[in-house]
Amino acid sequence: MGSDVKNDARPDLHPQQWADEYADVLYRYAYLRMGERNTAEDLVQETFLAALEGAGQFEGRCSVQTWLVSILRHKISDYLRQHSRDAVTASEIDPEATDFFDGGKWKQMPARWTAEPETEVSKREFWDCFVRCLRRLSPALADAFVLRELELMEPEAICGQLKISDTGLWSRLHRARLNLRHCLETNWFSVNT
Amino acid sequence: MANIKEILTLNCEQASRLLSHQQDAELTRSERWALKLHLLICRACRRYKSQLGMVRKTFSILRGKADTSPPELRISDEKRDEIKKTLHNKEGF
Repeated sequence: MGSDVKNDARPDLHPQQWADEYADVLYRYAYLRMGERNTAEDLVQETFLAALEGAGQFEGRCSVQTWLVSILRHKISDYLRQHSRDAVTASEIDPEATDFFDGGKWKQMPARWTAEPETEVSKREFWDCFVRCLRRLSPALADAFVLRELELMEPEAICGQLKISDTGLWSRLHRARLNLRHCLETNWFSVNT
Repeated sequence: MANIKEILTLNCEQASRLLSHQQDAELTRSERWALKLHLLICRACRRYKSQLGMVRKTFSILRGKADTSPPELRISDEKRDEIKKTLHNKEGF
């Protein structure tokens, strides 16, 4: 993008409404991935600025929201790459999730979660735990899983965004769910309820 | 999953994969049968199923109305205003 780029935002993009319409959706996504307010808010702001600059490239093939989320995802990947303390970013995904099973059977019987989400969500500590557990997923798993669960994005659309096959996506989601439920059970449901 | 033997011998690992898959796509008829039969006899997988439902429910609360979602999951008013101003200034050049 050259320095002579003019502001060629299309009128139908309405950037003046972005903060009201999309800031919350983008922030939620960023917060769940980053677990920290300031970082998440800054990434949202950067996303809007990048979107404004790149507005000329928006082709209208997806919704404005999907387009903004995809810009945000790239911002998050860049951030994680720049700030990664270890090499988890490149961690391989085990498609068989064998660590939770032994010979096809659960290694550890899932516990009965007696609490209901409706009551737990009013507790701040629950959200802290929930976000911490999400952040323990490898970026590849978290990326797919949060896209899917947070905004209920259609699987085909996620495959398109992440450029992965549908079997690749099923495997990531499956693995994310096994890991998240294990973390929540260990750190919340068997401790606090 | 094609034959009756495979339907009757589904294990927990396979069942957990189908339970996850069911949240995102339609299972085939034989997958549905295999899962149904397995859940009938397996308490662990019934629990897993219910836990997946609770996780999904939690996410749905998360994207719910502003007054029900926790404050740390909403952007601050200050930042929203800052973004508005920045966008306004940039857009106007």
